[in-house]
Parts: sequence; structure tokens; C-alpha cells
Amino acid sequence: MISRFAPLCVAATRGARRAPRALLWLWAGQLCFGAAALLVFRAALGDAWAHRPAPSLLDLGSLALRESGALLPMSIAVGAVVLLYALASPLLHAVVLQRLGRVRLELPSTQQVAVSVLKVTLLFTLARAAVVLAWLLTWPGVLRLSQTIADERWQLLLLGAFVVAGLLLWSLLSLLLRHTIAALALGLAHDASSASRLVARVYHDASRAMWACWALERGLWLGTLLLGLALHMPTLPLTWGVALLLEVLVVTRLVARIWALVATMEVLPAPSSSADAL
Amino acid sequence: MRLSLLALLLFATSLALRFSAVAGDSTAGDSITKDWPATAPAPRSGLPSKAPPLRYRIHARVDAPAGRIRGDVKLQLRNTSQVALTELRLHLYLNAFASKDTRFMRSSRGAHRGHSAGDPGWIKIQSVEVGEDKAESTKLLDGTVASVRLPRRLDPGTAVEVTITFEAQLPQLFARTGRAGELLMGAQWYPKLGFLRPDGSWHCPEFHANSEFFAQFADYDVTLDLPARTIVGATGERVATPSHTSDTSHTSNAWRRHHFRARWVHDFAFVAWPHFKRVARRIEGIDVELLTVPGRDPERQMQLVRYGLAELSRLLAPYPYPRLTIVDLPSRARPAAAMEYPTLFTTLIPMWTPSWHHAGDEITLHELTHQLFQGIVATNEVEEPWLDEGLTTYVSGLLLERRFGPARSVSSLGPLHLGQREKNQLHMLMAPVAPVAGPAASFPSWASYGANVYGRAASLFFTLESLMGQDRVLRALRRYVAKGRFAHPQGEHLEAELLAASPPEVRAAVVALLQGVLREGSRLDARLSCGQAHIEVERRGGLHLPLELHWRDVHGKHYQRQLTKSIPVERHPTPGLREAWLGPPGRLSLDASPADNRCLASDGRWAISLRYLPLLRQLLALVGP
Repeated sequence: MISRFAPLCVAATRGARRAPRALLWLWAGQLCFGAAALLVFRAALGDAWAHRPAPSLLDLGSLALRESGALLPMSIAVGAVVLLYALASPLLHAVVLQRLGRVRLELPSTQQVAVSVLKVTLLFTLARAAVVLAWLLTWPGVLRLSQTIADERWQLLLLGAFVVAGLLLWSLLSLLLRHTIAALALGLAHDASSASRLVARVYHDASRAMWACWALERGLWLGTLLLGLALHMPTLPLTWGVALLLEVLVVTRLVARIWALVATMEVLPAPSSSADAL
Repeated sequence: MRLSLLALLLFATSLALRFSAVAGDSTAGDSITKDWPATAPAPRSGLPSKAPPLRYRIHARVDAPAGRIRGDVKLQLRNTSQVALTELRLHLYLNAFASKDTRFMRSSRGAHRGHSAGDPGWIKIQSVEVGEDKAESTKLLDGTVASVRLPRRLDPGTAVEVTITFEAQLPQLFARTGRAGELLMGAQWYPKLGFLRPDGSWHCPEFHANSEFFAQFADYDVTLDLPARTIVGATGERVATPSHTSDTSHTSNAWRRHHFRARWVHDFAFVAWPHFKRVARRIEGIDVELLTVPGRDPERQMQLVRYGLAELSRLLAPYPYPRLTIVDLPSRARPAAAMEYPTLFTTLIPMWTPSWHHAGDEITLHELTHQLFQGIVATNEVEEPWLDEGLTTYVSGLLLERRFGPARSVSSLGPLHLGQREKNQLHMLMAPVAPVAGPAASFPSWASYGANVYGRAASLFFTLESLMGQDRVLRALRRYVAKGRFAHPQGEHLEAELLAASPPEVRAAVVALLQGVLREGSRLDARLSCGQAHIEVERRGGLHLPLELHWRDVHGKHYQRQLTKSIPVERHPTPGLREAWLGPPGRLSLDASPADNRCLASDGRWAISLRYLPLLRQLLALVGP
């Protein structure tokens, strides 16, 4: 295991040294989207934002019920920010990865990469939407099926398996998207089809390393999210120190993610043989 | 004013887990319920010694799982009115589910508590005998009421025996009754006598979707023949262990006879399912039987019931019956869950319910409290539903607050939590304000009924606490229960006790509050807005209660001012303002827009934005690569 990880670490660290500015762009891009979401959220909360340091769901609920007529335009605004993020975030990742990329191949231009990444992102966004839709449509049937079982332990097992399957499928699609973007950005593949074959190979060759990286990155995400929630405790004032700590966690996660992508791609054979393989 | 999808989603999906309240916020519950009032032991007494004027003897054969019931009811009725009776009125509740044209189905639009109607149900009277004479029954209105003309007058004080043979089909489980797979919930399944008023008229209305039930106290003696492998729970006490039937129409191995007796109850319900796990305990001198689902931990229910019985006894009155049956229904029987019957109630806490989420615990304590309000203090749920639902929501809310903490009595996951008072406020905001004391059918929808009769009525009692003190409210309730047990009191009795318990200095406010909320449908809507150096208090709605204005300046110093005048808009100069809020705790439980009872000086709002930025970025990452 160590022998497998060591070269990855070396390669990824070498790559990371080359692109601190690119990482900065990724961080700044995400910050901009966060700020945009914040502005929409503030506008949506309106009075509640103005009245409470931490609006309770009693506040949110009462506003939602009182101002239900304004729901549609605000839903569109929030949806637009989310969709823009879903499309733009892969592009930001691709740019960073391209800066980090190996120079074993003549990399395509950023514009070429952007077009390919955008196509792939649209494809995966549709696929993820389909997964969510299919899950939601199937859920009532699974629920009914589970309720025909008298023993609730077996019910729980069935429902739990269905929930876990849905989450795994979503995660798998996210992971596929991420590695496909990496393959395109690093110039290891030139279209979605060849990228998917390459990613399959990555999964085969580097599965343990890749899943370890994925777990690390997801753990950091979850940790930051939970910490973010915990910091909404009213007794804890939001100081610059706390804000800085959260940002350090966010940046750590970004670095870990990029590191994981480069590292898993590094296990591929040399460009000539990989090109042959494709 | 603007809203976001996020706000609605948060609201709808989590039933309002809350981000913690503000720093320095002395929440309503914390200060009010921290110390419970020292209460004198409620007078402990069992059932009345004399027999009630009505007696049911029912024998029925229940074909499970088909849900077909054939049986006969022997009614022994004494005329307690002041005039001679010429007819009897009976409820045939199951006919509400016979077609889409009944009043129930029209008023519910075919759905009840989010569940749609399935296969129909019905009940038919096949014959009626009054003493030795045959009598005719006539279906009235939409078929949920029948009239039986008596062959001869029944004079005041005299008794008669009426034998009714009937056949019924339980519907697919809907609106508390029916069959779901192998499970049968037998509720409102037999011809049930209407309520005889002292003037000789009958209270026996058509079944409406918002209405629950109202009947006279009676003694019940019921035998049920059910398939042998079925586990049965029912109102009252089991007379003997189930025995094989001698009925020749069935093989003796396949059927068993269950015999139950109940004294001084006003309804009889049963439940049957082959897979129930039966757990029995003796709690507070009562035989408690729990029928639960395989896989669930029975201790959660038993501990709740142990706690609830003790607390209700301490605070209001002891449970007077020797037996209590709790039915923890499987998930597929949800349309029958959360319903009270005398000495039996249904609840539902799935095994995956985490210990920090108390929605199921609330159902159990709510239905247990119903044993008092409506079970023993048998108010009219059709004409004055707030008397049992509102009071029960308030009292069970107190029990939950005491057990799980005021701010965490609905749900509690770290910094995310919700209390009973907030839940009631959310509930009452889900529909327009209406007079709380109206009859069930006067509310235009189930949402309106729930928001006003449950949420708003319970919030009324929390507001009364802020005016009178919790100890005085509970004292009034104890007197109301003591006078109203095994009787049918009305709203005016409860109001009189509340007024009698209120101190003179707040009596006018209590009168205005009761009048405004119960009969006029008045709103309470106070709004604060903060400038850099002033606070504006705006009062809308018809209810003007005395309030307190609190504020804190930039140095953290706290100020307070009484707001006793009914002025629509007041402006108070407050140099160096940081934040302001209205009080005292609980006084604004009825507020129509709780979000604006607190405000920040405008320069404090950027700090809030920073607080949310990292969180929003992490949430956005969900849709990223």
C-alpha cells in the first residue's frame, strides 16, 4: 500500500508546487459563488435576516407561509445560482488541473479543454438529475414494499440499502465526472468517450488509492460542513479566527481534492502507451 | 418581502429544526418551565360507583383480514332526558366511506391527514328489536345516521333494551379505521347511539372529515370472534383468556373468542394483527399492555407511558381505569395511528426514530393525555373540539418540555433543535386565523382545523401562562378536571375556571384574550424595527396584550420598558442600539409573524452574512464535481 502511495505523493506534490496561483483562482471562484448564493439567500430571507443573528426555522417557516407568493421568483434565483455553480465548478477544476498537469503530452488549449469539460459536465449533470429523479420515483414503491414486511428490522435493512444505493450512485457519478475532467484537462484524453475508457482504467489500476483519496476529501467536506453548522451556535461569536479556521479547512479540502485527482491519474502508464491503449 | 426555495425546503422537510436562537435570547420555555409549580396531589379516585345509564353488549364475528363484521348489539338504555322519547338516533360512521358523495368524503376531498381513501367501507342494520317488538330503522342524511322509531314511548327514567343486528365492511385503512394487509383497526365499527340531550333531542350529526366523536358514558361487554392466530387488543379489560369458539360455522381451530369488559367509557375500539409483539407491565397500579411491531424497542414506549401517567396524575388527575392498552402500529397502518379511544390509544414510533427526535414520543404523550381530555372529561369533539385537542396539545407539550427540555422537546440534534411552543406557532401559521372555539365543521379545511384547534389553542394556553403564571393555569385545569370528570363540560366551564384563577390585575387582559382568540378570531401581530438609534414598535391585529420592550446597547447594557398602551406605532429613541426584542417570554406565542419580534441595528447584519458564507459554500459543493 505504501509503495503504491509513495510515487503518487511525490508526483502530486511536484504538480501542486507548480500551480499555487491556479489553486488561488479555484478558491476565489468558489468564494464568488458562495457570495452570490449568500446575496440571494439574504434577499430571500429579507426580514428574518434583518431581525435575527441566526434566524430560526420558526422565522423561516413563518416568512415562507406569509410570503408564499414570492416563492417562485426566489426559487428561480436560487436554482440559477446552483445550476451556474454546477456548470462552472468543473471548469474551474479543469483550469487548475491543466496548470498542474504533467507535461508528458502537449496539452490542448484551455479553450479546447473548456469545451470538452462543459460537454462532459452537461452529460453528467443530466445523469445525476436522472439518478435523483429515478430515486424519487422509485422511493414510494420501495416504501410500500418494505411495509409489507412485518419485522421492522428487515424493513430498515431494505430502506437503508435503497438509501445507501442512491447515495453511492450519486457519489460514483461525481467521482466519474471528476476523473473525466482530470483526464481531459491533463490531456490524457480528448473526448468524453476516450476519457471514460481511461477513467475505467484508472479505477482498475488505482482503485484503493483513489478510494482512499476520495474518502479523505469527503471526510474533509463533511467535517467542514458540520463545523460550519456547529459555528451557528449563538453562544459562539463569529470572530476572524473562526472564519479563518473555516477557510483553512475549505482550502485544505480543495488541495486534497486536486492532489487526489493528480495522484490517481499519475498511476497511468506513459503517454505513448496510454495513447496506444486508447 | 422575499423568500427562498431553501427557506421552504428547510421548513417543509425537517418540520422546522431550528438554527439556534440568538445570543442572549431568553427563550420562552426556559424561564417559564424551569421550575414546575408545587402542586397539591390531585384527588385520587377511580370510576363512579353507580352504573351509567347506558349499557352495550356486543357480539361480533370479525372476518380478518377481509374486514367483514357480522354481529349484534344489545343496548340497554335509560331515558335520562326530561321528556318521553319516540325515537333513537344511531351513528353509522362506516357509511362515511361507502361512496364519494358522503359528507365526510366531500369535506375531506377523499383524503385524510395526507392519506387517500381506498376500498369503501359500510355498515348495514339488518334488524332492530325493541324489547319483544320489531322496529324499523331508517337511514338519514348521507347514511351515517339512522333513526329507530320506538314502538312505544320511553318515559323519563324508564329503560328499554334494543337489539340491533348488523353487518359491516371495514374500508381499506383510512381515517382511523379499516384494514391494511393482515391488520384490522376496528374503530367506529358498530351502530353507536347518539348523545341524548336533557331536552330529549339527539346530538347525532353526519360524520364530517374534521370531526371526531361524542357519546354518552356506558358500560361495554364485548365478545369478538377472530381468526385464532390473530393478536387482539381492545378497550377495557380482557375477561378471560381467548377461547376456541363453539360456532359451528367455523372450525374450532381457526377461530378464537375474545371477551372484553369496560366500565364508564364512551367508545369501544379493537385492533387485530397476527404479528404484534405483546409486552405487559404494571405501572402506577395500572395493567399496561403494549402491542408493538417486531424489531421495535418496547422500553421507549413503556418509559414514556410510565412518565406520562405519573406526571398527569401529579399535575391534573390520576388515570382511573385498571387497564391501558397502547398500540404501536406498523408503518403501513399510519392512517390509524395517533388516535385515542377510552383505555386504548394508537401511536407509531418506527425503530429507526433517533432518540433525539421526539415526534413519535409526542404522539404517545399526546394520546395518553387524551385519556384525560375527552376520555374522562368527555367534551363534545364535534361542537367544541378545542376543548380536547387544544388542552391536550398544551398539556402534552408541558410533559414533553419537562422530559426533553423546553427548547428541544420536538427535535434536538446538536445546535439544531425545536421546542413545543415553536412547533405550535408554526402549526398555527399554516392556515388563516379563525375563532378557535368554533365547531369542527366550521373550519374550511383540515389545515385550518389543525392550525386553530391544535396550534392556536395550545398557544393560547402558553399566552395565558405569561399573563397568569403556569401554576394558576394548572390550578384552573385541575378544578376543571375535578368537576368535569365522567361528565360532559363545555367551554364556558373551562373559561370560568381560568377567570377564577386569574389575579385581578390581569383579569381584563385574560377576558380580552379569551374573547379575541376563542370567539372573534383576533390576531396578535407585533413588529419591531431597529434603526441606528431608535426602535419602532408596530402593533397590528385585534389583540393588544401588555408587552415589554428590551434592548441592549453596543456596550452590552440591557434596558427594559413596559408597553401597556394600545398605540398602533410607537417610536423609542435608543442611542447606541445593538439589538432589541419583545417580551415577556411566552407573551407572543400567538404572534402571526414571529420573525420580526427581534431586530438588530443595521450595522450588525454583515456579521450574520459572514457566519453563513462557509456553510453555503459547502452546501453548493454538493452539486459540484
